[in-house]
Amino acid sequence: MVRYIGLRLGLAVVTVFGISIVVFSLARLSGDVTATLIPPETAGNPEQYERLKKDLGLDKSYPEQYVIWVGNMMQGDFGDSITFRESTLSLYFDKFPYTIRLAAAAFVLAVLIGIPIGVTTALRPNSLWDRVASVVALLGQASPSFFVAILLIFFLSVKLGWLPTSGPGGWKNYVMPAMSLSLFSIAALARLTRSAMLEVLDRDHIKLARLNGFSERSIIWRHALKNASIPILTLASLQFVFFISGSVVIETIFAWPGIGQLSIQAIRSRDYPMVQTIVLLTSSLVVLITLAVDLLYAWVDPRIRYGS
Amino acid sequence: MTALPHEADAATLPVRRPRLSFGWVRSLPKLPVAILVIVLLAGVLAPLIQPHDPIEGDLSLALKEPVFNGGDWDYPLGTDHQGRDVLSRLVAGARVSILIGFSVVIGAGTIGVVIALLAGYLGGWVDQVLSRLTDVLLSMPFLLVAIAVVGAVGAGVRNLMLILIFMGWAQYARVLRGEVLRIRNADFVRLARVNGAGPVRLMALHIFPNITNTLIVLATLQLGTTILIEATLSFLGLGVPPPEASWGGMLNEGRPYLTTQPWMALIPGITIMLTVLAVNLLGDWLRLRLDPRFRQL
Repeated sequence: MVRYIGLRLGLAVVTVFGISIVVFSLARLSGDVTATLIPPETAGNPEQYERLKKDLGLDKSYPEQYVIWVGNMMQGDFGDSITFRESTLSLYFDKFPYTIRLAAAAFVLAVLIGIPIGVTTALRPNSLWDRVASVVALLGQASPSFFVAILLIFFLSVKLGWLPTSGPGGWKNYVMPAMSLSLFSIAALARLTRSAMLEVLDRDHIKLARLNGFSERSIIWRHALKNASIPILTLASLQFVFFISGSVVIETIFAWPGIGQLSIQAIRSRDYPMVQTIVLLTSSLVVLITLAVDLLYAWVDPRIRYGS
Repeated sequence: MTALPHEADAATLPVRRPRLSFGWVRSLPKLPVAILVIVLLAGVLAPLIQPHDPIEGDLSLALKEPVFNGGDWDYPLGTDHQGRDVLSRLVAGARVSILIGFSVVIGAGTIGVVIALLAGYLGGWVDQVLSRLTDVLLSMPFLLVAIAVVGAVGAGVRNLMLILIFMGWAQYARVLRGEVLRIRNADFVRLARVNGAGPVRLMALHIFPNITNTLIVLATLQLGTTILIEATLSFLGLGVPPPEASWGGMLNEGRPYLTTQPWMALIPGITIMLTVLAVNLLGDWLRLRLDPRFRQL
């Protein structure tokens, strides 16, 4: 196990290193960053142009810039945002809790709604409930989150006036953003749970449990769901990552002050140190989550540890 | 030798029969096919069939209701805030979605296949480097990176295609590499190698034909997500730049009129939904036909 953890950890470090190179290159794709940052009234002044370039460290070669950037990050200095004139790291962590709370709410919704739908439809395939649920799931998987958000705002806020349309606050403010973020995942989890359950319910150990007189409830939720849980867990962990990425759109629509909104602001104002920090940290978080899930599997199922 | 692969494949690899789920929906693959044919025809024929100019509007005709809500047949789906015909813009938007969707699927698919063949067949350090690169791209939040790049290099159809191809090949590479690894040691490949086939010939004629099923399923999945991502970016104003028509952009333009003219936002929204639904249904159907192992994805 220790060897396996070491190997996985090493791969994760290599991946984060690769991400840093991609992020660094993407931030310089536009060519001359200085030219896009300089205020229009001083654009004609070559002296100020040179000074700005030097201040930002953009007069050095790309490899030099990269080494300085990584070196500074090792010491905890992720650079200052150009628009906010503040450390990008502290800005990121100021906004992070909002995004995580929203993602967590969406995650809870997806698991609490998606999995029970999947289990109950698998128990009675082709029943009326199964058909209705399958149509809803198919539609859910085809709906862009921003369209769901607009429909929710239209019905729940504009028509019925039940829920506030923007900003964080009480639990009511979470309903629509979390719902629009998670509809796709609810549908995906429901469909996956259904097919995984159908497969497990057919196996011999379930039949044996029935013969042994276990209650139907214990057979379904303990014996069957437990055995169907590996693909479900994989998909569920992927959804969490998907929520963090999807928050860009949802936060814009609901004026939610999280990472998503921060990234749109940073990109619009061409604040490249901010963009670099956001993409690097969010990607690293994804690597971390993937690593945690991998290790969890290896712990649960020894075949994975020794297999590869 | 080339006639053998499929029989050899079937004999050496276990194939599980898929269980039919959501069977009654799937017994109607006519519906998704019909929707896709309409969208495809609309996109291809857009300049010929759009009844009005999708970009230049007549302000005196702004915000007309669609025909099923009291409008007239001159503008069957009504007009937007600038007096542009919604139907014409929908058709022009179909063209953009299809253009971006297919070029991304073809571009990313081609790169993904080549990377998967090289990594899976050659192995060793080539595999290590390519697999790490795949990991890197798969770990990066797709939407965030796409937005960041579009923000840096500017919006536009061509830039959108390039960035989506750049980010999109990794999924193919990850899945297909596994397939190549599995097939590489099959008897028919060994036999071909003994017969003197070189690496390029082996990859192109013996391994590639055996990963096409998975490739088609992946491509369909990606077509749906690409259309969604293009719509998302255009909705945020970072995709197809206005005044050019795109479904996501139309939805965004309809937002301020949600209370008074809900159809302006509903029509493009429903169009996106139906198109993606059709692609997904077709994907499900193909998955059952071509690759039973995929039904859990």
